Amino acid sequence: MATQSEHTTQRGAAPLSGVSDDQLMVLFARGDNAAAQLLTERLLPRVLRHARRVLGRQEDAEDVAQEAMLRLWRAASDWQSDGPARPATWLYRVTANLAIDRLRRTGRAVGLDEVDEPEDPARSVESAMIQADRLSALDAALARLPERQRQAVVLRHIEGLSNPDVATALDISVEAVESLTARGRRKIAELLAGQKEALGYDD
Amino acid sequence: MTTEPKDPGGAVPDPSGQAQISAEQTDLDAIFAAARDLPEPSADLMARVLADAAAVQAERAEPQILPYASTGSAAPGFWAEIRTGLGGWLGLGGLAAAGLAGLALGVTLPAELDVLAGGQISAALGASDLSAAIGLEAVGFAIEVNEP
Repeated sequence: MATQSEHTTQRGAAPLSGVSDDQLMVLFARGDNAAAQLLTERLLPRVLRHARRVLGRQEDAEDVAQEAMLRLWRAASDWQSDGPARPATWLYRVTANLAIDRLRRTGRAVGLDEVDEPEDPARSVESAMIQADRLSALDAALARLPERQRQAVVLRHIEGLSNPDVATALDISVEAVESLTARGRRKIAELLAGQKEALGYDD
Repeated sequence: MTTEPKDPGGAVPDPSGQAQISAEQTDLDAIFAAARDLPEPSADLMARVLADAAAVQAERAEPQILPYASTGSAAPGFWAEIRTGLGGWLGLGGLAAAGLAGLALGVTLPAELDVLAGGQISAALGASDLSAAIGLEAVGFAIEVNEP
């Protein structure tokens, strides 16, 4: 408590570095803009990455990430620092729902065609491009999965959330998470294997 | 969404395929790991998000005063609530007019009846014999006329 009030008076990002996301939410609600800065630095990269992998397009992902963060700011005044939801998990949940809304609205719930164009295959031989190709191949594979499977795989394997956290974020059971991630993973492996061959044939 | 029961997930096929599967798995894990290294959010996005944060903080800072300031005058009084319930001043005016009309009917209707019948008797009884006779005749006439 003493350290917290000290932080509010100091108004710098550095003194807040040891403060939890929950406490930052409380500080934010009190009007502390250093808390806003730090929460953004901590959470925005994750939200953006999650949205980017699920949506496939950078500009869509940025819009969704901004909207998710806006909802976080609005939720701050009622935030209970000792409540069950952590800001990060809460944000994953909001982002998952916003991303699904967006996919449905744009009719891209499942489909490969609308995803960012893969890198020019001619350049795929260059070692510098290999990583980017692998990622666009991953994006293409993710885009082929049903929404929930995609979300579960992104949260579990890319964001590195635990199964219970994925379950909370997607509002499903832990068993459902296990099932979705197992099937999603297998499907991605198949798709990537197929794509590897296709790239080899200079598709 | 299909609710396929939890399956073993291809982890236990024939032993000969094991090596290939684990190679694929590590390959997949490597791709997932690579996907974690996305570039940081652009400066533009950071600025947009922080601007939203500042706007929310600003709008929260003002209305916070409202609940306290308004409690003094906000609670409507008993009569004010009744008035609102009955449709405001206009409703109350209508109600008053209806009450007056009812009172007028209650007062004037028996008087008129009295004029038609008993009123004449009471008037006649206080007057001369002649006029009383005329009055009685009138009443008798009235009764005769009224009888079928």
